[in-house]
Amino acid sequence: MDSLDRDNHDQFLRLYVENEEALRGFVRSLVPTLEDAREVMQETASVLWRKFGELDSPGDFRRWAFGVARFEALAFRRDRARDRHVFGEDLISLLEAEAAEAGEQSDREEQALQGCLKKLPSTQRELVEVAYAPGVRIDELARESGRTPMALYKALHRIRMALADCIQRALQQEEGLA
Amino acid sequence: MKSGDEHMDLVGRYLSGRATWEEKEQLEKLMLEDPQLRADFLACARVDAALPGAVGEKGGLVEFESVAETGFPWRRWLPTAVAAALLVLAGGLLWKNQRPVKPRFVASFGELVDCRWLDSKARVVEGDAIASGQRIELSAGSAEVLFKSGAKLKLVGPAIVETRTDKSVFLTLGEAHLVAESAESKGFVIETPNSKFVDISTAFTATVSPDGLSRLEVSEGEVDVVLDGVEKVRRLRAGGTLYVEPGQRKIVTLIEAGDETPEFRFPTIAPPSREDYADQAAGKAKIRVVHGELQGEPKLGGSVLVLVDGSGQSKQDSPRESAFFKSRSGGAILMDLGRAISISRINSFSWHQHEEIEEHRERARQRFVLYGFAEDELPDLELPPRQSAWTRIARVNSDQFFRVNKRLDRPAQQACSITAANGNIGRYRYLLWEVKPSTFYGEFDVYGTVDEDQE
Repeated sequence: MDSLDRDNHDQFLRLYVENEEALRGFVRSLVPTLEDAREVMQETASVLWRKFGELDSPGDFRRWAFGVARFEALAFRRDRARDRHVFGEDLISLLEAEAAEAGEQSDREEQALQGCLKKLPSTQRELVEVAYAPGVRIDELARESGRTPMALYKALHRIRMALADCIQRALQQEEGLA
Repeated sequence: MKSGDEHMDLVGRYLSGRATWEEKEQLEKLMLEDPQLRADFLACARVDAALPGAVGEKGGLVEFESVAETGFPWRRWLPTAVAAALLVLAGGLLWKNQRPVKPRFVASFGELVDCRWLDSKARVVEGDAIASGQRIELSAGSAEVLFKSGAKLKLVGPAIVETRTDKSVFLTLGEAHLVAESAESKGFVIETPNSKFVDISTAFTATVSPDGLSRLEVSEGEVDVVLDGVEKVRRLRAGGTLYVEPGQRKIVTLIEAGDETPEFRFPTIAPPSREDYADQAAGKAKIRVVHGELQGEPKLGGSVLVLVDGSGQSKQDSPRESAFFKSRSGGAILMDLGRAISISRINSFSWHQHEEIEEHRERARQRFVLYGFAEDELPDLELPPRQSAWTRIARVNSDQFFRVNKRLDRPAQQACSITAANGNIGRYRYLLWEVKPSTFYGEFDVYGTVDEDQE
């Protein structure tokens, strides 16, 4: 590997890691399931890696990466043409712009999430631990715990909302707004 | 959340993948008109995307404790004295997601060769301790990690790996060679985004490319391959290599070298068969070239039908019994199975070695991308498959697989077997091989069954 390639590797890795969380959140908003989001993220990472040389300026990486992710989500939608549970392009455009803006504080949100998780009641915290562990399927988890999948999805949604509220409060406190 | 309960219920149903089409439409309409609902939706989506990263290996939240009460993210918070001490201790390691004050050291750095770290300020030296949960981000060079269990892991940059215990790591990107010879290190696990490789008593190499494709190569002993959501463990022995494609179906590609006889015997892959679904004698499938041109038959090359005649070549250099493209750009071969079937295995066979020049065996390598399509009406074949409705099933490059550095490294007879971890590659009517030149393919076997409800 020559020095130019090494520099490219360095720069790509640095930019990708810096923007990964924001990108992941955006991608998650565009497709219906976490598994779909993982697939789109993998494709997005692949395209970013291959086309990194075409990027004019590192300062444009976030905007460029969001554009690529958007395109990959649309391609995913096209590939799953029979699965119509994906949003149209108008809404995706709005979400892209707003997610990119929110992504500016992804580091702070990530930090706040850790604190918020600790504040969850123990039953909710335990549910998060189990439900988001690698390879866990909600329907199987529901069967094992004697609940319906719908009840479990609802419980997880309530926890996500609680965490999102908690994160927002934490960021406002940090900014002296609360 | 400032949005109303009814709207947030829709958000919840969408994010759990359970929304009906009508509910999705309703949510889309509402969000187009309501910026607050969009903001709440995005906030929930970000939490959902971040939670898997906040959960540890055994399903517990990643343990961390705040060193100081501060609202600042760790990168800006590093200048505090404690963090600075940690930075010196850990060298170029990025402590993502956590700020441990009681690090549990599980390994230390061994030999470091021309290392460049993602954090350009990193100063790592041999002997530096590595704690559980640390992320090692190497952009170039190689770094040895010596685990307390006795296992030795060599990282080749660019690589990102997170240590978990003294017997396990998570490899996000790059190449990691493991040597686990001691009894204590038995069972060492390298987890990748789509697989888990469990050492039995071995040396093996795990690689993860940026798009999530995982590769396992066993050089000594045995390794168990565990795939998410699949109970059956696959054991790979010394000399074996496999790829796991990213995606839900966990497509596994295995390539093996044959015994270089007309019997086409391979360690685990079955020889060319007349029993597969696509065999010409069964009359169910049709095959044709849709891009490029095969080398002229019958003098210079075989027709595309040699691929479904149930046998490979009868000798090592037999153009007439081989289908191969004449152009340098390769071509594409389309198989129509007549109806969509559930496909369990797709095998391809190649054989070539010049009669007199031993190292002349270029036409044995297999390089193709395989796509599938289930509907009856074919996508526009003028468009590249990636830009139309084809589903990519697998990417195959046997030279990469066998790490061919010189011509004699390349096996003259090769078999590639594509399967899925759960046994079902997918339901497809059409298969499309986008083939690089100019391999002597002798047979394509497609195994599958018609779904009961289609009978």
